[in-house]
Parts: sequence; C-alpha cells; structure tokens
Amino acid sequence: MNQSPKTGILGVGNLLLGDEGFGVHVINRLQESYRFPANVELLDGGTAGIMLSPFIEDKDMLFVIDVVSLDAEPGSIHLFGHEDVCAGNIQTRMSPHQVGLLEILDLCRLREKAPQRIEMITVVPADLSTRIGLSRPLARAVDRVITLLLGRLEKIDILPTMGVV
Amino acid sequence: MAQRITVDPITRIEGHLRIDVEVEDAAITKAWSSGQMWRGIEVILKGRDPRDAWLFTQRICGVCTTVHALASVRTVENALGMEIPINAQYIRNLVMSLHALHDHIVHFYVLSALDWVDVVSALKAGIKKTVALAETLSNWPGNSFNRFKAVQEKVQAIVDSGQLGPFANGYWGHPAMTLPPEANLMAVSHYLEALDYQRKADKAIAILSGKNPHIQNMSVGGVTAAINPDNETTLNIERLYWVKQLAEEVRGFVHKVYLPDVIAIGALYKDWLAYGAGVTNYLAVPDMPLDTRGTSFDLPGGTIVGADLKTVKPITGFNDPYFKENVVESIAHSWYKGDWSKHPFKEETVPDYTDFQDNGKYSWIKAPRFKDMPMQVGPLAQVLVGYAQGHKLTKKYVDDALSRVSTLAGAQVGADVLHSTPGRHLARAIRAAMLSDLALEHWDKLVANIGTGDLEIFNKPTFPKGEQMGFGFHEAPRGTLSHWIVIRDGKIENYQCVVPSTWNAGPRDGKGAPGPYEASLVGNPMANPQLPLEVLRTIHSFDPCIACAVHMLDPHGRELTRVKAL
Repeated sequence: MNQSPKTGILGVGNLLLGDEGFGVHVINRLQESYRFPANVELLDGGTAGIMLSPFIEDKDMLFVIDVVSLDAEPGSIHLFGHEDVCAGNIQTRMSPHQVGLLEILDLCRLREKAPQRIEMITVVPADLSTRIGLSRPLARAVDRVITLLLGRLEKIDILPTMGVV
Repeated sequence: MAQRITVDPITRIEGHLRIDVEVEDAAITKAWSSGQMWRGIEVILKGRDPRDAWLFTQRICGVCTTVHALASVRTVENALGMEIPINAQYIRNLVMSLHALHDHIVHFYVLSALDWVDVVSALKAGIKKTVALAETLSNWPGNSFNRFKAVQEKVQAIVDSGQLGPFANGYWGHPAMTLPPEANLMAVSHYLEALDYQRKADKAIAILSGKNPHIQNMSVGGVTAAINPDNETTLNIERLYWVKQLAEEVRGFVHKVYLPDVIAIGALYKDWLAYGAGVTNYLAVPDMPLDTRGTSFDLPGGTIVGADLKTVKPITGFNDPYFKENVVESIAHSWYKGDWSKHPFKEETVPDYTDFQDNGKYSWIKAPRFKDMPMQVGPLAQVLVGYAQGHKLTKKYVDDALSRVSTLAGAQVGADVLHSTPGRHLARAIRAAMLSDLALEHWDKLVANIGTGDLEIFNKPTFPKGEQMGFGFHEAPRGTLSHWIVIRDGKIENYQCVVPSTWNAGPRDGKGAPGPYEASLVGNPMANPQLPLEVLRTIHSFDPCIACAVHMLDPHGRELTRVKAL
C-alpha cells in the first residue's frame, strides 16, 4: 500500500428504523467531532445499493459500519475482516437488501476496481421499529465503535484530530 | 399434476418479495404476490413540520431517495396552492431525469439482464462474429475486438476460479436461455460498462444537489441550489457545463448501447412477446413541468383501460381532480386491521398480521385502485399513454424501436407487443432515450433563463391556521408515485405514500381482482419448477422495488425456492 491509501468510511442503514440507522449515526458523529486528513472520505450511504459503487471503487481501504443479524447480545460488536468478506462467510445476497453491499463488492472486483482491503464493523441491533434514534445499548455502542475504528485507522497511519471544521 | 412453487425471496430486487405460483402442464395457472416487510414509515411524519417531510421521505428507500424528496415538496406546495420559480422547476427536472437514467441503466444491466443473458455461453462466442453482430446494432466504440476478447478472458478466469461473484445465482444453461453466444458476450461486455454510465448520471445529480444519495437541494417552494454564474460556491457556469457533459455521455450510452441491446433481446426472444401482459389498465402521471404551476409538461400522463389505446384519458396537471379523486387503497388481502377501501387522505395504517392465507390476507402491501380498477404503472404505462395521445417524442421512439425489432425478428410487430414481459423492458429503454434528450433540453432552458438575468429559485411558503390537504405526484422510474398530506395548524396530521410498486406488486382487492404482478404471471411457461427463471423474468421486468427499507448484514444463507406437489 502506498503512503496515503485512499480510505473510505461508509456508514449504511435506515435512519427511520431505529437501530437500523446505526451506521449513519456513527458517520454523523465522526463528522461532528473529528477532522480527517484529505485521503479519508466519509459517506452516509443510507440504504443505497449500487449507487455506492463509485465511492467504493476509488478506495484502497474500506471500512463499513452496519448492523448485523446475529444471535448475540444487542450492542455487541462483531468484526468481519477482509478474509471473511472474500471467503463469502457473510451473505447479503439473500438478505432483504438484494443488491447488498457484498454483491456490489463482487461487481467492483469483476471490474478490477475493488478496494485492496475491506473491514466491516457491525453491531447487533436491539430495536428496529419505526422511529428515529438509537436504543440505549446501541447509543452506548457508538463510542466503542468509533474507538475501535480509530484504532484500525491508526494502524495505517491515519490520525484524525478532534474538533469541528 | 399441479405443483405449488414458492420463490422467497425474489433475488436481485430491493426489498423482500415472495411469489407463489401454481403450475400445471408447464404453465402458471395462479399467482400470489406478497410483500414480506411492513411498510408504514409514514407514521413517523405525524406532528412534524411539513417543510421537513421530504428529508424524511427520502430515507424511506435507498434507491428511490430522490423521487420521494420530489413528490414530497410537490405535495406540500399543492396543499398551500404554491407556484415555484421556473429555474427551480428546470433544476428539479434535471435531477429527476438524471436519476431516472441512472435507475433504468442499473435496472436493465445489473438487476435483470442476467435473466436473459447466459454468461457462461459467452465463452463459446467467436470474437469476430461478436463484433459483426454489435456493428449491426450501433457504432459504439466499446464494441471492439480487443474489448470483447478481454471480456471473454475475464469470464473464463471467473469460471475457472469457481468464484462466480455477481454471476453466482444465474440460471446458466437453463433451457429458456436461447441467445446465441455472441449476443451473450456482447451483453456481458455492456453489463460491465453500464456501471460507468450510471455513475456519470449520479455524479451530475451530486453536482446539482450537493450530495447523493440523499439530495440536499430541495425545498418546499423551490430549490436551494443558489445560481450565480460567476460565483465559485454556487451553481455556476462551470458546474452547469460539467452537468451537460455528463448528461451527454449518458445519452450516448442510452442511444448506442442500452436501447439497441433491449431491441435485440426483444427480437431474439420474440416468443416472449406473447407473455406477461397481465393487467392492461395503465396509469401514468405527467412530469417535467414547463411552467411554474405545473399545468404543461414534456411527458404526458393519463389512463388506458383494457389495452385499448382509444380509451386514453389525459391527466393534465398538478391539480387534476381526475387523479385526486379516483385513487383508493384496499386492504381486503393485506395485513392491516379491517377490510376497507379508502382514499389516501382518510387512510390509517394499523398492522394486523395473520399467516399467509391464499384466500385471506397474505401481504404487507396494500392494493391501490383507480376508479376501483387495478392499474399497471411504470415506463410501459407512461410510453403507452403518450403513444395513445400522439405525443411526438414518444411516437418517434416507439415507432423506431418497433421497426428495428421487426427487422431483427424477421416479422412485423406492432405496438400490441408492448403488453408483455420484454415490452416492459423496451418501454423502459424508450423512456430512457426520451429522458436523455429531455435532460439536455431542460439544461438549455435553464441556461437560457439564467441568461435573461432571472436567478430566482425559491418562493417562501406560509402556513395558515386550520386544515389544508394536498397531493403531489411524480412519474418515477418505477411509475406513478403520489404523496398525500393533511396539514393542521402548520403540522402534519396525516401523510400517505402510494408508491409505484404498491400499484404493481399489491395483492388482490375486495372484489378478488389480482394485482399486475399476479396477473402477469398467469399463462407464463415454466420449463423447470426447480429453476423458476420464467417467474424472475416477468417479475423483474416491472423493476420491483419494495424495500422502502432495511440494510442488514445476514451471516446466514437460506433456500430460495420451495416446490410442493399439490
């Protein structure tokens, strides 16, 4: 990887369905509280599908923040590394969102424009009812996810500063 | 012996849709379309400021963000009896047409081409023969020997690796896949190129709207994209020309690749022109307004009953009572409390889940009706109501496309073949060609108007005490979208979205009349119930999008098709 890999932080989810919007809440918090160097780009991807491909295709390194359907404690964080994504250990093709993120990654790979590394930081939701805002366990998970993400970024020498632009 | 087949979920769509069919003697005899996700996000709007509604509605769906934003601002403006500045109208029209172009290109190549195109068969294609085939369709520079050769090598590498990626769920070698290898190779090459062009359309939207997905430049009363030809931070001449450049590139792809590909597939699958008509009542609303009040339009709207183009009745403007008074939604077979048909102003959304009951309630989707009739919406409806009214641009493209299909198919075909599964794809490509022309025309209109010194983009809304009701519509990529609002003392009292896929994917109504998906499947052939490719072909041709919805990673796979002997 070169000196300043183009790095994307993509938060996905639906803001109108409670914890489903977790990824978007994390992006909002990052944008409010940190300033990132020029090689880092943040995106509130909402529930967009193929529309995310331009953002994904021009990155060397991609972090995805999302919720995950796992039988585990709400608010618990689950990391899927590059190998998990590539080995097809997770599937979104058969999830409700049919043009899922993984399918888009497949397509990017086919076009030889996929990021070299992808990591997914996911959280188990507690409440997916129609409302705006996070449940208590997920509101608490925002800071933990951000700490974790900043740690990963530090490993590739990306050091955001605190404070608003 | 009859068999019951359940396809759940239908793949390559947004949202969770379940289709059940009964098959006898290799043809479908009965069908049910069932939305498996609750759609009631509108409740979140109650009590909020109507000026904010568009920001919420564009979060309903990940694909249709722009369309819900546009329908929502039009709805509130309608309730307040507002006009908007002509610049705002043109900017909205540009955003709307570019969004539709993005959507149509993605739908055909990414979401439905693999129903007709056998990727593995592309390996058997002769490269020179592929170039020769492509040259008969257009002079697209991407149709070169080197390009096709590289694509074939890429497909070979994927097949050898066993990691089929996006091609993993295809029905390769299915008996219903009958394109020659060269057509398959050409289509795979265009599939890979399509992503570059949908991206150009997205880029143009982002330049006009600040952000995409989730545009930021709408406002009740106009747009917030300040125009100043000489200011770097506003919509200036440099940005406007960038938008034009991108729109021209997208237009090139639509005219030289997308439309010719669909014409070729329609001709090479001419047997299919007899399948998939279903409900032949059509509804489309007018769009791309040409004045500040929404009384004249570049794209006509109207209704057609029973496939008879002579029955066409126009919908003439943003206030037309013919539309306003004739829409109801029925919940006779939907998982909501009661058994009523109500006008959207009077609806409520109280969930009442039962099991899947063939003759009872079986879907989360309501059944919208127009004058108590099921209606098919989408590009086919739009193209047909334009064609029936003698709309010049529509007629030009429809007649040209039908004559090219006739030449390739070696048989004369008329507009009646449009009532079919491939007809829906053809109408969508025709609509894309029209929109790609109109986007540039509206760009010219915008720039000419700015040239007169008019930089107005916004009229301030004011909310009187008491109650106002309004409706707003938009002819979205998937068809007629309408929002309905009741405002009381400046706050939202009721809000309903009647979305295109509700018209098409909805269940039976109180009289037992099936919705368009259901009706379109009856009579479809079915070569192998284990591999229900034919169901996917017809359902995908509607461009289903019923998500309005969620985006959750699922670490577990699940079976897609269940077959049961009856």
